This record gives sequence, structure tokens and C-alpha cells, in this order.
Amino acid sequence: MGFELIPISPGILKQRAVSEVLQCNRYSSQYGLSLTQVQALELVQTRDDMLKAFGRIEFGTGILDSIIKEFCDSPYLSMQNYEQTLHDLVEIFYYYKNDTIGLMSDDELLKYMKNSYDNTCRGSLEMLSGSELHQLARNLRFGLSIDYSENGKLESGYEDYE
Amino acid sequence: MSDSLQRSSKIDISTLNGSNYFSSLLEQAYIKGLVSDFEIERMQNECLMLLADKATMHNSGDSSSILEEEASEFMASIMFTIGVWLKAFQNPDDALGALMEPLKSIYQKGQTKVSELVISAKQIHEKLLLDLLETNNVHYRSTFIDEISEFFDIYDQSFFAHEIHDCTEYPLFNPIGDLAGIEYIQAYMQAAYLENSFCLLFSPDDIHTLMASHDKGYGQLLTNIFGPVLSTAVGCLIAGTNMEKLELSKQAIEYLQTKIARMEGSQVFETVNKAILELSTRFGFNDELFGYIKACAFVLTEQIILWSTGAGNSVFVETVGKSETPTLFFNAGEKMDSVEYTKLVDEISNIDSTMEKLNLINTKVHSLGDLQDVLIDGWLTSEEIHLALSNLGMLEIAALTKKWLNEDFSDLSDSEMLFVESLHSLVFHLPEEQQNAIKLAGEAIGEEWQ
Repeated sequence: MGFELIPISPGILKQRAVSEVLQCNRYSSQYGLSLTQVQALELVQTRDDMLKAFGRIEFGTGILDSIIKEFCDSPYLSMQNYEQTLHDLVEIFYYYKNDTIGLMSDDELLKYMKNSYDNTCRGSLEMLSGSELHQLARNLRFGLSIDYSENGKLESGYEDYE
Repeated sequence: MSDSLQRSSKIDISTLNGSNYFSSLLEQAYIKGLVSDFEIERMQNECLMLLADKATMHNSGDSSSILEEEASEFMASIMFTIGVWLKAFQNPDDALGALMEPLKSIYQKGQTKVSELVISAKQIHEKLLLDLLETNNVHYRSTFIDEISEFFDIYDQSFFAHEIHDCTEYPLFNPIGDLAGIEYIQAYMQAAYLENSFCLLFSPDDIHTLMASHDKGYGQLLTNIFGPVLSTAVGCLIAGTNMEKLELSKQAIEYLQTKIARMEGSQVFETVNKAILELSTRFGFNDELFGYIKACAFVLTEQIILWSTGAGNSVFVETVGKSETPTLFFNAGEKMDSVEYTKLVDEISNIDSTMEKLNLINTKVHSLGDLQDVLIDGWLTSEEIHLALSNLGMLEIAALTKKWLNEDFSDLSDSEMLFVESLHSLVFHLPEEQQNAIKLAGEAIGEEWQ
């Protein structure tokens, strides 16, 4: 018997997370977006997979609820792409949570992602991940201003980010 | 019969791990059926709650997740702290009984105990520094002056209570085993203090001669000093030679070899113990020092028996070269604090005139350590470095030469290389007589200023 760091009753924790995701439907439905029980379960599974893949451990309610609430009013989301976009955003979030080496809080990173997704990237997740967040992480690591760009100009459009 | 002393424990204390006390106690209790699955699960849950609190505290509530490595370190710290409190119970059964209390409360008591250990270790460290043995061994001084001080600066009992931060480079005669974190450091400091106290009973010069007889380059070696001093003192008493001066002649060593070769192991142990008792009587050891040295008797006996059969290292060494090379304890002066230093370097690098730069250096720099740093960090030309070095006395040049001209040049930065080239050029252009004097002085200067 090893007294190790193991989550207790993972089934119960997962059920609680699914329930929290489903509760977000109340908020997102005003934008015509919602998830089914199965979709919520799959999203929780993606979060668990990503936590494992990026070597992180989550406490409390986790990040799904915040991602949904932050993004559901985006003009680039519809029922056609809602579920897949959430899966992708979860992956992008954890990737850049590690890549920004803890220099941004969850809220700051999510707000930056949302702002970029809606403005500069115009709904393109490839651009968000491959360009905007890549540049943000590099700037943070090098101690530069977060909106510093390689051509020496400061990017605009991050007024909402504090 | 005293209950607290004699009551046997269901858990065999020898199966418990000193550095992972809490988990090993639970493991043994589980194996013996003394805790239920339900209790184990409760404690795991409570540990996870403590971990969640730590994670939140660590990231100020800014992040819902932490890296696994961080979580693992925090958990190790929590379990170490709980273990420190549980060790307060002499009987493991009582410690197990205490675990019926919520872990949060036990953890808080452990934190108080850890704080007490930090204070105790700091006090021992301060006492040690008040009277640290003068020795050329760089590791002795760097460990006790720099590394241990740094440990207290960075030790974080909230998140990394189990860490020792690799600050105990200098090896003790009896290595500390099976402890972690501040428990390890406190035990290490206590042992180091006692070893240092014993060495202070002898003259630093005699210890230098003894250590140099073991190995001329002992100043750079990661080697224990107390061991040779103790074994030589014991050897002197057995051989009837001058113990106070730590002198063993070739004849005395031959005598020891013959005498010990004729003894049984138990007789050697008895002889060593008798010598230790005599040492204690002559020097008036206090209980702590006597206890520590008595505890070394077994290891020392083993070493002596191995030596007498030709299988072990040289426990007894002929003391040679007494005062062959006089050692100069070079005082490089006290360095300025880092803020003042940074300001000075900024000032120097913003001045154009060479004379102004040199005047500023002459006025503000009062130690050789600072001077060498300024000449390296101050963006000076080779001519300016050369001029600054020209103002130094022969002993200072010798000290710098000893330090820098034996360096592996491939490890040097560009600015260090410029400094070394200027120093080399300065020495090279001196008359041969002065070059020889610098060389001799360099050999006599101890390593400690470096």
C-alpha cells in the first residue's frame, strides 16, 4: 500500500464537473448555444486528457465553466462549431498555461484568448494558437510588453485586456 | 516500571523511515491492520484538501490548476511537516492514535515544530560562525559561511519544508542519514558544531600540517577535517606521543601498526574508547561533545582495524613538512553590498576619462574582491585594467595570480579573459626577481580568500 497522491473517487469528481458544464447551458443558451449530457461528458474527458498531457492537476471547479462563460457571446460561435471549438480551446488553454510559465492568471489568459479570437483572429483557432498566443508567450518569457510584435510595432485591439 | 519507557509498540519503530515518517507509519499500520480503508481514505482526502489550499495560496487564487511537479513537491512538504509532529510521540502507536485528529490540525502543529527547528538550527549556525576553525579547506568555509546562510534565506517551510537545497557539501565524519528538510539541517549543524568545537582544541597550524600530510591539496578536497584530527589524537595517546601537537612520527606509526595487529577487534574498540575517555578528561569535554565523539568510536575502530590489515585508508599518517610552507591568511577586505557595487559599476561604465575611472576606483573600492569584480564588470579597456593593477602591492598581485592564472581559461567569460590577460601581462613584464617573489607568496597564501 502506498500512501500516494491519488484523486479519490474520480467518478464522483467527473460527475460533478459534468453537472457544472451542464449548468453553463443556462447562461450560454441566451446566445443559442448549449451542450448535451454526452457532449459535456466528452468535454470533461478532454479536460482530463489535457491536464494529463500537460502535466497539471486541477482543484475546485476547474476551467471549463470559465471558458464557456468567456466565449459563448463570441460572434464566431454557433451550434455547428460550438462543441468542437470548446474542445480546441481547452487544449489551447492548457498548452499556453504551461507555455506562459505561470506569468498570467487563468482570467488574464482567457480574456486575452477571447479578445484575439474575436478581433485579430476573426474566429480562427489556428491563428489564435499558432500566431497570437505564440507571440504572447514569447513576449512574456522575454519580459517584453505583451503586445510587442517582431516588426517593432505594438499591436492594437487589446483594450479589454488588463 | 515506567509505562512510557517500557510499553511495547505494535509498530516496529525500526521499520519507519525518518525522512518519510508519516507515510511509512501509515504503511506499517495498514500492513498490521491497525487502520481501516475508511481511515486511509479520510486521510488521503484531507491531504488533498491541504494540497488544494497550498495550491491556491501559491498562485494567489489566480489559477485553477498547478503543475504536477509542483503538486508533488507541495504534497511532500505537507507530509514531511505532519511527520515532524508525529515524531514527537516516542511510541509509534501513540503517533498513530494522534492521526485520528483532523490532519489540518496536525499539519499546523507540525508547522510550529518546523519553525522551532529553524530557530534552533539558526542558533547553532550563529554559534558555529562565532568560532569557525581557520582552515585552508575551501569547502569547510563555503559550506558554513555561504551555503548554510543561503539555506536559511531560501528555506520555505510553507511549500518546500522537506528540502535541504544541497547546502551541506562539506562531509561530516558521521553522515546524517534518514532525515529530510530542516530536521536534516538541524542535525547536520549540531554535528558540524561539535566537530568544529573539537578541532578548536588544537592549533589551526597543527591541523593544517596534519591535513597537508594526508594530502597537500586538501584545501580543495571535499574531505572531512574532524576525522583525521580525532584519529591522530587517539593514535598519539595510544602511541604515547605529543597529542596536543597532533604529531605522529614514522616510528610511532610503526608502533601503532604492530600493537594493533596483535589485538582482537574488541580490544581495539576498548583501546579507542579508553583514548577517547582520556581526551575527554584532558580537555574537559561537555556531555554533548563527549557523546558525539563516543558515537564515533565504532567507525574509528573499524577504520583502524582496516588500516592495520593494510585494507583501508591511511588513518594514521606521519606528520611531515611542519611549517615547510608558511601559510599566509590573506585578508582581502570586506566586500561592499550589492546595491552599492552595482551603482559603482554603472558610474564607472558611464565615465569616459581613464584617470577619472581610476580615481573613482581608488576612492570607492576597499577590498581586493571588489577590485577584481569591478575590473571585470566595469567595461574597462585592457590598458585601464593594467593601470589599476599596477597600483597594487606584491601580495595582492600574488593573491590575484594564484586565483586567476591557474583557472581553466575555457571556462572564462570575455571580460574575465581580458582581466586575466592584463594580469598576466603585468606579471610577465615585472623583473624576474619580483616574479619569483610573487610565485612564492602565491604558494604561501591560503585558499580561503578565493
